[in-house]
Amino acid sequence: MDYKYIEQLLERYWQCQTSVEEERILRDFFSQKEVPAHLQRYCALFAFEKNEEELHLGADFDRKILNRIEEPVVKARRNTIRFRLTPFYRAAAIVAVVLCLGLAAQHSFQNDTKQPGVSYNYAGYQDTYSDPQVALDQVSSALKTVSHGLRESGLHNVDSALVDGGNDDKM
Amino acid sequence: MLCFFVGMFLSLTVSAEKAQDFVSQLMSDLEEQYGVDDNDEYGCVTVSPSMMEKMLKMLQSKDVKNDEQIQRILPHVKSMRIFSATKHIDRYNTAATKLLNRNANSYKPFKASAEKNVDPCVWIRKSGSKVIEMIVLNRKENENFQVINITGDMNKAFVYELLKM
Amino acid sequence: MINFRDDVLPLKNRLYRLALRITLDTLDAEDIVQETLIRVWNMREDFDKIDSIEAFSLTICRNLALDHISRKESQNEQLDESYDTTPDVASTPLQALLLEDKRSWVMKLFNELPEKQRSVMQLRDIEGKSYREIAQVLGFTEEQVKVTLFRARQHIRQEFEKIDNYGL
Repeated sequence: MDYKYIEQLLERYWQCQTSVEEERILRDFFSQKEVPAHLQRYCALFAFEKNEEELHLGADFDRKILNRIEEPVVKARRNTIRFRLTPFYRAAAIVAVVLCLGLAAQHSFQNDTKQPGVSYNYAGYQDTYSDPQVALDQVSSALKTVSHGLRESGLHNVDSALVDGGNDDKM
Repeated sequence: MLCFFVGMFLSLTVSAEKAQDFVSQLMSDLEEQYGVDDNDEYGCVTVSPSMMEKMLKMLQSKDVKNDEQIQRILPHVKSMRIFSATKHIDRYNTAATKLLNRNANSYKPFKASAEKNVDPCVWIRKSGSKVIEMIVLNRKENENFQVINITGDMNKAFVYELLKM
Repeated sequence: MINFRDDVLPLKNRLYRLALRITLDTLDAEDIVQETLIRVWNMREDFDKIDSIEAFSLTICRNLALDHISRKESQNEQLDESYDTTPDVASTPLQALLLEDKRSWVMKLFNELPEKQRSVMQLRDIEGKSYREIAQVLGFTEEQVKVTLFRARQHIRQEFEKIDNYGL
């Protein structure tokens, strides 16, 4: 039997040139009973991989997680704030909005185009740590808290939260 | 009501080019109200833009495990300040919340119609369409109060990377 | 309508195997899978925005597992031996030849790879993922995935060739 094909596949496997399908062929080949002597030492590797594929969690896990998921969750009611303006205030509001838009347009034209809008004053910043590694540890830890906060906020409309500023106010 | 609108467009005529980050404002407020913090009841960790750059450079030069994610997140963060207190937690929590509410035209809760009792809770400040500041109030089991204050460019990519943390 | 049982729970085994490969502890791996599934489930309203739920879940799982082991390391805890149930594991290829169970030697070889190589081997050789999918999970470029995989396989190859040198 000519094992050249397998030997070529194996060489390509070590070079990471095999496809997923070809790797499957190798695993199947090496789990056979009749593997030639000069290739036998690789049986352990592919047999191990095939075996590991079969590790799984039991039904007990399902029961535990389903209990956790199906716990009743107290959901807060969505709060919506509505403004009802009387005709007078509505008119005043329209005038004010038009004026504001005009001023804002004027303001943005006058601004330095490199730095539009708000920028921060970092001049007074004094670093607490001089070692970047220590600073990084603090920053990483803080970012994890931020991550937790974002998850707690819920993710309905990440887009609108970022675009609209998360404001539900209706005029 | 009209005074409000007059005030609003008057404020627009003032060039607010250099703003103060939230924690700086909070600490000014606290000093005004309670005097200088002689007893070190609260602290503030500052990581400046230049330190952020040093951190990124350091990460890019070493091959430390699990750094790819932070390397994708850090470029969005210009600076970070972390205010923390272990005593008088209610006082600082109230001061921070008041400051947020007083500047409602700048600071908005992250999620639309956010449940304000969520902890930690996230607020953002925008300039045009960009989120330039993020404030997270974190109250850890009544033992510790923290305000994490980030400035930078917090876009959707930043949020999605953070969610994977 | 997204359903936990049909859409999220089926990810459990793949997540388990990755968590186990990283933590080398069955109980820790199980806890990590639970935590991952709950986090993913809590984000279900944004599933349409996520490219691949599986890749997303695997990323969260890996991050949780890495957090876990770094916390354990800082607490100077001994690595739990529960995953590796064979009492005498070979430390050299020669000893491996003497042992009936070569599989435990291969397992040790695998598990002693640096975490990134281990994770890439797990996702490629055991889970059969494409380079693109692995890159998504680990946050690498496809090129980086290939390089990492190459290093892992070369190391394994060298160890196997040592057996050969002892003469079979």
